[in-house]
Amino acid sequence: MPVELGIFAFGVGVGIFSAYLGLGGGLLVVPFLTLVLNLPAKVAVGTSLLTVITTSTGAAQEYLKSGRADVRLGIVLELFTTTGALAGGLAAVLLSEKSVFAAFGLLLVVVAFQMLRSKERADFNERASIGAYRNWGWGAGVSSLAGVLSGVLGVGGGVLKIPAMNLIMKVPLAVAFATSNLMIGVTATAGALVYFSRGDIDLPTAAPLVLGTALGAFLGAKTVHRVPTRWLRLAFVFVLLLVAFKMLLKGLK
Amino acid sequence: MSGLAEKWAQKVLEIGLFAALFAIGLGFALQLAKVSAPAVILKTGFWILLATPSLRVVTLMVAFFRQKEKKFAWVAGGVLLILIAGSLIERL
Repeated sequence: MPVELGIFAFGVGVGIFSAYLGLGGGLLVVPFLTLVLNLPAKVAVGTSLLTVITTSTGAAQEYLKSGRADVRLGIVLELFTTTGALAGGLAAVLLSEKSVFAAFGLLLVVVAFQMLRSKERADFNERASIGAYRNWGWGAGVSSLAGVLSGVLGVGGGVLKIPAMNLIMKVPLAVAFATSNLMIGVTATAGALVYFSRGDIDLPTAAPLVLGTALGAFLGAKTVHRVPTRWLRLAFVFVLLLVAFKMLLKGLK
Repeated sequence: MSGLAEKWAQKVLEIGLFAALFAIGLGFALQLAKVSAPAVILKTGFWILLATPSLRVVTLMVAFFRQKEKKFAWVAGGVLLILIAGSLIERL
């Protein structure tokens, strides 16, 4: 089997998982590209950002259709996530390969614990208008950080934005989730532009990855209601911790 | 779906993603079939992918202006400026 088909198959898996668990995919793509395909960390991050744009765009248009994503909240916070992502993408040059691995490993541990504690997402129907949101300053600060995280590590940054919007800004969880997703497309684009300009994107690898992820996300969205997400979540936490261990090992060796 | 802004943004994302995946898919299939495909097809696909979220911001800006939500239109313009700055980095 040509390696491209293997990458495509992995992409399909990532897409399905992302749809089931509401993730952007970067958390799995960067470790795959570095640990399995042995790409340099920076190229893996740049390439991952393209996958993240794909999953976010696909999901965001669904969230816009259902009216769950708040475009006004999104556009305001995007000022900060895009600035952060540009800064993060530029600053990534200064980071060593090892520190990217270590930071990514730490991020995975944080996400794993967050997933253990979080509730199921399916049953949220609350809505709120932009006037009801509070603590915009904090929201802006955390959004900037999420942008930096996206630019440096090739992830969406939902791990920071969703809790910040929900707990600090008092945005209903379902709206926070959908809006974070909407923002990720633009945020990852800002980061990807920097990696593109440096040539840190592997297009031959990105093509099957992006196509596979898109197909997987589509299949996942169609079947998500038939899957026991609780067990899937636990299995995923296990995988995350395992990958975190490998990434940390590579970062600290 | 609520307003004009949401409707337009959704359409832009839908069409952009479809066009990008089509071009990337075509480029990838030709490459797999070992046809000497011009790399430009694949590249175009990725540029459409990168342009899609930015076009969504442009669309929101126009929709907010039309809906007389000037404040949000200006914010969208700001986001657009940051993205333009990002795309100019290459030329530095």
